[in-house]
Amino acid sequence: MILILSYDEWDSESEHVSRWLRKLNGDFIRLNANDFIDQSGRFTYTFDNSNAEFVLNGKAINFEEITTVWLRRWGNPSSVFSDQLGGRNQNTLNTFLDREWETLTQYLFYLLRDKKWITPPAALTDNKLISLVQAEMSGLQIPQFTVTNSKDRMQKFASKSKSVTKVLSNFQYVMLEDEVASVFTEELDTMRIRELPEYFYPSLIQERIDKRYEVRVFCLGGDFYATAVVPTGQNSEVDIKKAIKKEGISNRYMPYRLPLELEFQLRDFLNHTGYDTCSIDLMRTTDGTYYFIEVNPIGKFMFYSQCCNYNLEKLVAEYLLIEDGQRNQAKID
Amino acid sequence: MDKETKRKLTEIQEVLPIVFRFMTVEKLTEVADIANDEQFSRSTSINTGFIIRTSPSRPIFNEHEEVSHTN
Repeated sequence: MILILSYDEWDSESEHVSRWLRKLNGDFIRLNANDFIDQSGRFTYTFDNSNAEFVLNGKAINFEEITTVWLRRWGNPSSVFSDQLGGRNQNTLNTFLDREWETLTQYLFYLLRDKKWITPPAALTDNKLISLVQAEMSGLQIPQFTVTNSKDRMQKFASKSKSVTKVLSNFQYVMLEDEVASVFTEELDTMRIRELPEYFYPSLIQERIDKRYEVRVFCLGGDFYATAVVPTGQNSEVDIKKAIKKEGISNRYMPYRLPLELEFQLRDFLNHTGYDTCSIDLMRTTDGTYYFIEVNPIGKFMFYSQCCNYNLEKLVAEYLLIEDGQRNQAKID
Repeated sequence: MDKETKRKLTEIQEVLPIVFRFMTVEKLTEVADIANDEQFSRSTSINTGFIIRTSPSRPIFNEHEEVSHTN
């Protein structure tokens, strides 16, 4: 049996893969992080010192029945409680709930440690900087970068090449009353650096790549499904996501064939990270060089699946069934 | 955004990584539009039906092909 661990918000990928698993008569269950704090009785569980069991809609599922785990998304849903508490103790309670959730998660993953993992638990804490270094070790070209808290250091870096700045990890948005504030990759020119204080919170500065276009690659079991994202019109945005909603500028999305040497380097990189599936961002410069920008082990892929008609959700479902031994390649084909 | 919210946001921006100084602020309605899109729906696993694709695959983009910068 396949166990899909997911989240109930912002993850249409799990839903689409689940639909195909049902169509293909796959033996699977999907549990969202939110289910683990559900108090309706629809889902209960016991994690003993030697055994574990889920009970979903009255049906018991022993962990021995689970053979493959796809860790699609995960996160702490406990904030739904702490948000209601407010007041001066909210930070204390949030920290406590984070630790409780982390301990529960670690033990759940420990109980499942002998299963076949599609996306290992380490993917949840993937470090972008370490990934860049690992990519370079696999022969991939990467943008030069530095992390600093000093304006002087930042100026020295920026004097060598055009630069951008972005978050070290991931950031979604801040909800204001009738607005939303988002953070994208931003150009960092000398004017912007001049206006900074002498010292600041640790920040990433990275060489700006003069791209001809970007390539988004979905990786699945050693195969690559690439999409070229080609800017059109007067689109000079550093971050392609910013172009989506601006009038008069846009991106073209097309299926893309990677050069064999690049595929070889990417496979080497994936062997080191242990990711069966992930999304990789590349840039191609005007002189034809490919740059590795970042890897996202739990990246969204439905948009590119539909743009390029790759049907990735079906391919992922088939891959899960094959890895779990429920189907063989010949039968799927 | 009212003045007080803007003041608070500026205060926060100054203590965060520098990229936060260049935050993009948009009207919430645009986000609501995305949230209503099926792609971003709050999906739970118990639905039926699946998407049937009948359109042919597009040609593979050739890396040596000259890129058109217009639609």
